[in-house]
Amino acid sequence: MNISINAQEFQIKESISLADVLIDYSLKKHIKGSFAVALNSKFIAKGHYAKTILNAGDKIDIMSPIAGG
Amino acid sequence: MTWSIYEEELTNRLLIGSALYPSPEVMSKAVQASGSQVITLSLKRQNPSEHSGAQIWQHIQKLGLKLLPNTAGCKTADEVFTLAQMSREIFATDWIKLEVIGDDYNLQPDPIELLKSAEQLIAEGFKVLPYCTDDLVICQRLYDLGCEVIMPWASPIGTGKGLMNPYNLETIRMRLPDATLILDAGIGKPSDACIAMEMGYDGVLLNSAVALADDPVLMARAFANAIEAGSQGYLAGIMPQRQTAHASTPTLGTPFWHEQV
Repeated sequence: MNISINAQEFQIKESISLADVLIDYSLKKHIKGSFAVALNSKFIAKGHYAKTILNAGDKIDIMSPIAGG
Repeated sequence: MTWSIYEEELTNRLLIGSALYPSPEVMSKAVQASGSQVITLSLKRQNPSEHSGAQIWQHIQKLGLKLLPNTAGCKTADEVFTLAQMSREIFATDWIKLEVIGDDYNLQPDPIELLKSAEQLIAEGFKVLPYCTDDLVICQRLYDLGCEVIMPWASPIGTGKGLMNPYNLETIRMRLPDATLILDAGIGKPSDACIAMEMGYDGVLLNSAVALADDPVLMARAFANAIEAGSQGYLAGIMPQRQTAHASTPTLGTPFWHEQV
């Protein structure tokens, strides 16, 4: 099934958790340093990654610190 | 003299942004020169092809300052709520600089979403520092909702136009004597910050005026001095303006050639 991570389309297996997707995404070095996650525009706390099962069409946003005013 | 933001005691009255500097190294030096104890920063989607965000974050962490994450880029209370929760997890702080923009041209805050958002964030335990216009009633409503700190703009973000409407800013100070007021956005030069402090503002938040100066480190020092001068001027009690001239030199004992014959 298809999901998007930071507006990029990815194909993943069915019944996979957010934690698994993030591990895979990290291994591909797409994530560096601190980050937080929103799923379909709702915040998901780190402690909930493993029990959050993804569905087709889900949109994941991975946010990291940047400079700001 | 100390002051506080949500029970956090501070000695320096300048809050500084971390964006737009020529390099992370210059940012660090300018922030240190400013003496600021609070630094603003933000969150954005990570772009795998560039890790400049990670680099600036490392520099910010090394400074060891109190972090004030903002919600830049948000246009609705729902977007703000999600981003604020993400910020709290990453930065481990309840402080949030609430920005919710209503117009893309002048980046003016949306007053309706701002109030909705402030209420929602306070209910979730955030300590909200809202960036708003210099509208007295909006400032009052934000304060009534529980925002101990209110941050009206001097002028639109990044314009450097200074205090567009001193009357409004003075009125907000007069009408909200117990609120912590921080002038935020639009400050261009040190005298702008000094004027705000002379009005009795508690602090000044700025970024572009330092980051875009030819010499950001020197400008950071200039702002620190201006804020200190304005703060001391306010505390010292500024003399009232008068309509007519008053000689400052005593007339008694003036030289004989001034005496009437």
